[in-house]
Amino acid sequence: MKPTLPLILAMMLTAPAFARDNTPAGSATAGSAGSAAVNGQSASTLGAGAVSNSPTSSSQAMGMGASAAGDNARTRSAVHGNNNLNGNAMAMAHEGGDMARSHTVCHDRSDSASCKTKTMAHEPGSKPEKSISEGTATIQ
Amino acid sequence: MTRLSMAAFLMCLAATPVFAQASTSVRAGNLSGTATAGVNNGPTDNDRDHDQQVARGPRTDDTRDCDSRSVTVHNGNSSASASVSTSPGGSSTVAGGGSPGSHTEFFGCDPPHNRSTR
Repeated sequence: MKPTLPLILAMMLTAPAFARDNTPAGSATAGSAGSAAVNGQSASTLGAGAVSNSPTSSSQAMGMGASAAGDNARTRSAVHGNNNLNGNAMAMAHEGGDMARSHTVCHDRSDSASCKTKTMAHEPGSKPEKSISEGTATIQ
Repeated sequence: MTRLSMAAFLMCLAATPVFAQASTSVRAGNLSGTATAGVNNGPTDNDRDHDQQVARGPRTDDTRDCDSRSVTVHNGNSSASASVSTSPGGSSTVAGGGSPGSHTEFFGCDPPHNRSTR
């Protein structure tokens, strides 16, 4: 039986979904955030990453943020890369032996997005309190 | 169209990937972030209004005494944003980026132009 024109057109329309290189089509988003505080020192960071692949295009976006409040507050945020994005956000505040610190790292890859945040709060005489939050998504 | 070609046509349509939207929101204290991927038509007026409201302070290179900052990155079907705020005297920074073709907007901390684009 001869294939009809609609059948050929339908196969042509759907072919790109399978013909694109090894990058799977779909979407992935991930984010993480964390906050630490001790005796008037506080530090928070977050990151969010998005990856979207269609049969004809691919796009990535990432946002990072950091804030700190206290006597010696420092923050730094950056996103590097073009097609594989790497983001960093760091926040720290300390006074004497009291310290609050948060650090978020995000990665956007061709088929996944991931973020990880580590926090730490410390005061003299006590063990540091640490936490980790993580978000990962992979295009199946 | 024959019965067989109709069936093949429907199979082709069913095999076409559905590009569902994925979205993630995170929050920690006064910080919030959102990432969206998939069907995305760029920033809406609501997004801009929200960003304007979040970033009330002036944008300067000095990270201190800037109560609120935010950044949004739009790139095709992907977008990500981060908003931060801190108490007076605190420090805050935001950063954003995307693959080639992305559009990054920073909000806050540069009166009278409270928005800058890179």
